[in-house]
Amino acid sequence: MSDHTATVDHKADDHGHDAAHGSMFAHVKVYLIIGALLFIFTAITVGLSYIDFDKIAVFIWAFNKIGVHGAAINMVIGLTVATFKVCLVGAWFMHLKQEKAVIWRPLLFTFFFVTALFLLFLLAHSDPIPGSVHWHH
Amino acid sequence: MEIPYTVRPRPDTGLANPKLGIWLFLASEVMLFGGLFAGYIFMRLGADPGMWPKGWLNVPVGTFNTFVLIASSVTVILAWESLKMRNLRMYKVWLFITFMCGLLFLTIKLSYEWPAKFKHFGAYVQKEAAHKYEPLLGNEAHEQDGKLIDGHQARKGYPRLFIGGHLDTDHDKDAMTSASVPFVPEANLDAVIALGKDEKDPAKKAKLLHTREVTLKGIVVRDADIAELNKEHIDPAKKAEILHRMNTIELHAIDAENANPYNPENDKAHFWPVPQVPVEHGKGTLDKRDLNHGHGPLVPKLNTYLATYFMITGLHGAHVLAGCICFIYFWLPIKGGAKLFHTNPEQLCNRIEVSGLFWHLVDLIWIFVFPIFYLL
Repeated sequence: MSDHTATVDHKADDHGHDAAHGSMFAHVKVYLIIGALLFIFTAITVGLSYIDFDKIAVFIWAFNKIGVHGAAINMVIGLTVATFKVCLVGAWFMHLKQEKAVIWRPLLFTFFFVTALFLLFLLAHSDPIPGSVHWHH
Repeated sequence: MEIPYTVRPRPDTGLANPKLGIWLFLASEVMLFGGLFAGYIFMRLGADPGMWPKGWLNVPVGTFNTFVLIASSVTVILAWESLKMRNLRMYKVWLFITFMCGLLFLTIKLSYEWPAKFKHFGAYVQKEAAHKYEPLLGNEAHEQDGKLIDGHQARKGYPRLFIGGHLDTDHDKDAMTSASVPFVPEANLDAVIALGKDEKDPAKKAKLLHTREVTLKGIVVRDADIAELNKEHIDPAKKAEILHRMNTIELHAIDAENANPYNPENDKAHFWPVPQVPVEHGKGTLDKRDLNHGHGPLVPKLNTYLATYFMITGLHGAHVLAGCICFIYFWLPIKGGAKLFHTNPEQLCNRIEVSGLFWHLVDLIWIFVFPIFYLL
């Protein structure tokens, strides 16, 4: 057993390039797939922007439940796709998937606060203090 | 001073310093852009239906630029992987492609997208004067004021009327913008004439004063009028008549997006630019004095949309430029660049990883810029 391990180590040291070659090739394949996915989702983002989600009953019903009306429905859907793309880039291109906790733990705070910032617009659409906003319908 | 732990991980954090450093920087960048985006979204959704400028950006060009940035994100990783495999040649190839992608992105932005804005003029009709022009534009908004439309009560007050068009030459631009006091007829006219007056070359001067016909889509300054006003003796009544005429804009074209703010079709994204809907020629005239102060090319001062657009894309462009500078530095055969491969390849590897992380962030920001500004 120990012999076997020693052989592997020896190989990795002396022929690092060869040993790494296989996994590197696999990495490259993953990067290309993620790149292709990003291309596809860019096209999807463009396509989705031509759909008036605020005219489709099920979307109106679902989004009105959380206080999102009109053009904001398209905005939320568009930003959701963008967030998904961002997650792809973050997880694979930026290696957050296999990154140390020292790195991703502080980023949780960033993620939390930036999400809060993006959701601030809900204050312009909902009525957090009942009776303070007059709606035209 | 030698910066410690550029290659070996620090014992306490378990990471090489540059990596922790860049991530903290990226976290602060996310908050910076997050604030700007949040502000934009707030204003965009707070605008009345149809009131937010739409279709001002070229979606096909924006889509292409998105693909360019995504491709560069892939190539920068391939450059890093090549370095990990100690393949200097492929490293240089991939990094150069990344650099060229960044440059291509900036070129499209600075040679086409931004200048296209500067070649358009836009002007808002003052709110108090809008009622004079609403009927001429086939715009029913003034009739709908405060009434019920499709079960919704129209907002009180007239929407902002927008006049837009092309500035075909520099002269057009000057005629539109150089007036020191735009809404005083004589000052405005003087500015037009001054173009010819200041010309040293007599042939050019004659040309400017007598043969030039300033034709904006919207403003027509007849060269005969300019010649008449340059005469030694001019009948005051005639002068007044010409001045009045020169300060009215013939409504050749009205920006289609704002022709009727209550038409939901006007609040939709369009992949290909919408053709301008021409208003019947000579249907009405617009007094320049009814325009809002600050009319002119599509620059940040014109409206909030342009202010945030230039702010965010400008800041993003600065990041792209910074990334390009880093990449070309690491690509060139200098001590801190490609030469490092022969002395300390792992350090060069870390440099590419860190600048690559920065580059991915630039890509991430664009992933948000693109839908928010171009599509939604």
